[in-house]
Amino acid sequence: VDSTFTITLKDFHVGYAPVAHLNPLTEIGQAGHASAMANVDVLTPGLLTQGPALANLTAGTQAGAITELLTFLMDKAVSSDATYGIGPTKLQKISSTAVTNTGSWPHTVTNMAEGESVIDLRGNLYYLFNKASAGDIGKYDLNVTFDDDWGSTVPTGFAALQKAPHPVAAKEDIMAFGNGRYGGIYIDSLTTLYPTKLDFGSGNEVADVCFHANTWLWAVNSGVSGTNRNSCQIYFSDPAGLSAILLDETTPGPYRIGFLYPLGGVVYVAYQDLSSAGGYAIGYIAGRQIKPLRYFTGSLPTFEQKTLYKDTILFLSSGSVWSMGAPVEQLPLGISQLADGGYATVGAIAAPFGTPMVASTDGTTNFRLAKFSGYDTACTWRWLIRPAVSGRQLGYIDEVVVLTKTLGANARCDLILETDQATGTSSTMQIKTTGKRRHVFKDADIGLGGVEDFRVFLNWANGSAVNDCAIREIFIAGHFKEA
Amino acid sequence: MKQPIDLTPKFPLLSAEEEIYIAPNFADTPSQMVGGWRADANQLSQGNVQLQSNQERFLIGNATGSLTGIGIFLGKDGTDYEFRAGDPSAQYIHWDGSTLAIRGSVTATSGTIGGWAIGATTLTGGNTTLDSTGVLTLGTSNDVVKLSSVDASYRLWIGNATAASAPFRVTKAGVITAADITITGGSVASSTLNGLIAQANLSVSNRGWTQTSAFSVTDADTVAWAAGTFTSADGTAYSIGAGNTGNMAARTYIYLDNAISTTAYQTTTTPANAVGAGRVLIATAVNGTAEAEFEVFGGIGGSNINASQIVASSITANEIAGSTITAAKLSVAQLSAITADLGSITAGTVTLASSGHIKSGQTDYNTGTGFWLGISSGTAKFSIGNSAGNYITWDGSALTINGYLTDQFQAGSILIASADTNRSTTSTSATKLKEIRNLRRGRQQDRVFAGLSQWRRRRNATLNHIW
Repeated sequence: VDSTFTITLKDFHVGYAPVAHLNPLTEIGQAGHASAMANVDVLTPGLLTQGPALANLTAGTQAGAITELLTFLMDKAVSSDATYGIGPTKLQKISSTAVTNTGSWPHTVTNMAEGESVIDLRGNLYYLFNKASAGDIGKYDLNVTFDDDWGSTVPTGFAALQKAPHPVAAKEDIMAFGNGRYGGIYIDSLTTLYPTKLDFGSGNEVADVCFHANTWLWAVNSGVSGTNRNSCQIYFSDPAGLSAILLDETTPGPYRIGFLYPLGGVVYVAYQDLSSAGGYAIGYIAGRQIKPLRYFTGSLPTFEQKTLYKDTILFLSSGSVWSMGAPVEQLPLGISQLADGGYATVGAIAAPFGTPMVASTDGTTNFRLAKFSGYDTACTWRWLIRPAVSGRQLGYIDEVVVLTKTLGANARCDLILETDQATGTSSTMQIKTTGKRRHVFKDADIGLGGVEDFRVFLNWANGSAVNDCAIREIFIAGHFKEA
Repeated sequence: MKQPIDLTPKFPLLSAEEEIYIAPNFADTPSQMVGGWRADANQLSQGNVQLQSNQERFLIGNATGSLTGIGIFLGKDGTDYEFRAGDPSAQYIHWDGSTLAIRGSVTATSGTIGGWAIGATTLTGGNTTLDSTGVLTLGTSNDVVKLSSVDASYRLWIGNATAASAPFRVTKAGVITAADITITGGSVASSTLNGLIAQANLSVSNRGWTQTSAFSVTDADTVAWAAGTFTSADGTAYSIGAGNTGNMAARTYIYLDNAISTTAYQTTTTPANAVGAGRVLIATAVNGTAEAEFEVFGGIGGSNINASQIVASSITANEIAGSTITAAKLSVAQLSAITADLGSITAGTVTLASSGHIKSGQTDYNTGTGFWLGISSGTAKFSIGNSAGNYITWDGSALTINGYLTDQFQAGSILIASADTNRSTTSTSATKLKEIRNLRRGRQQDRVFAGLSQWRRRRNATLNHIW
């Protein structure tokens, strides 16, 4: 033995490696970074484990009340254990465990073809939607009365909306909503609707709106949809909603904005750079800059596909649930793919009662609204590629020691070393056994010869949905030896 | 022993609190705060105060334009620079670049405005004081006009600083006291004058009056009046002497004009000359054909009028004295034009015209029941009785009697018939009750004897007749 080496994998809460979105065989990162993962929970600092599984809410499928893909879920409770969501044709009432499927629920909204958003404002629920042409705002008094064409018939300044996305936000008695090229305002104390209060110009479309630092922020995309490069602006407007003069703006660049998310005094932005494969990012507004924080792959989440979970931003991308943030401020930010979204096509995500719930469909006749529950087993995690050569010497893995939390019944994770740019594999090392915390694997368990590089591959396919197999640390020892 | 090489990758990572960093330089950061102001790209603002650099304006409150929103606007409005403070729909001050306009209440306690000295409660200038207590004084000392909104009794007075002593003053109820007054125009509601103006203050022409001069007709063109007294409503009396119109050729107006004479009535043929201040129209007169006419309008009065002044068909018998209309005053085409009971004709004759007749009951000669006497078909005829029963007719040639003779008829000493009634006697000696004499040979008419036979059959038992 010419020399030996050791490697210690820990601090998995850092999530994906910085350039994992560009190179799944990346070597750049630190001990806890992943080059790839699926449905893995790293939100408990120091632990790497299975992501949460999904359990349908009672009446949360097509057999119950959810007969269509919910496109928006309120991210807050309107009353105790009650919130609302909307789909293409129906307004839904939802508790932490069930979708109401009795009485007037779900409520079929007259002429609605695309449910866009729902918000409560001073004792009433407003639901914004599109029809075959144009759009409207419905009003529900949170008791018995629905007025499905309220916005186009009742308030002062009533008018039909554009047929466009209608992100919405509220502050005190003001409701701000996207209305195609316009920023709309409704001031409840004046019972006055201004559907075109702000005009961002032809070819522009409001992607999201939020209130932050005494200012309304409007994320506006410019350009055409699809795989076409856009530009975007973030405008700032009068907090009272009365002025049509914009206060300020930020120009992120040739991006397309997905959503704005004010959290902890910081406005986070999900956006896409079409020039980069997988060029999706979560950044934040820093002055007149958008500073990227973490990147991800998949698709650009929109205004109805964001929520907060364990102090991180949860969002949807290509049918999966992702997390970005730091569970505690003193730790680094991490981005991870936390959970599956259910069916392949996801709609909205929210956590009005703390536990996230996701709406999805298989694109045919199956729909579901499900919340995090138990542990998924379709979970994998891959470490960085780590070169294991020293000059002409190859690396030989002599020992792998895995520290876990005390395992429960049937808890299991299989460890494989992928070698030589993930072209080879070791034997499968089973991390299991009830009550066990330290798992030691020797040469015979590993079954590898000399390798140029390797990475750790964890797979919970044989794990338990009840008792997870949480990894605390992985220690690898080896030696270099001339082949 | 050689220490193993640590191949654990190293990569610098910042904590979240270090990595997420908001630039403190407000110039680079939208909505940053500096000195308590939010600094945006084009403005500094805080609450409802905005200093807009791109608009070159300063807004306070809800002001959004020079005349929009309650608050203060200072800055550029279009091409000029303006200032406005207040509520554009109520009270505000506005400089539009050329004109300063103030709408609503203004408070000042010193200085001048338009040459007026501003006091704490007054505006003064040119011996004029407008006091905010509610008094406007024009002049000084007692040489003043005062308008007051607060005096207990008066709203306007002139000539004395004290309202109650002012020679001219008007109470808040509108009562005017004036030491001297000349009214040159205007009008006073008649309801206001009623009972308030003494008769003596009126021209005699406006007073009620009476007079005692009797008017009479002298001839066809002269009316005279006797001496009398003209008395007006306030008791003024004028002794009027007798007079006349002289020979009139046109309508003449007799009137009193106390500016000419209080002892004689005047005459004129011009109507307008008979009325006016100090003039009272007493009567009018006009020459006529037989007699002059006159009409007196007051006092003893009287008139002598033409019949044309009497409403047609208005005179009834009540207005005509009995036995005063002579036959010469009547001229009618037919006597029937006079509706009257014919009464008794005691003289004269009645000669019927070619179709004339006198009738009662019958409607024509021997038609109906009654009588008819007159000319029928050009022949004088007479009929009486019932044309369908018993009657007597004279048709101009034959006298016809049709019916029973119900009483005795005697021609000379010859009794022709007796009535169909019982005839009896209690005498024991024979008495001739009826006697029929056959004056000629032959039989008597059956009708005569038929009755007798009938009577005989009924009275066989007590036949007392001498046959």
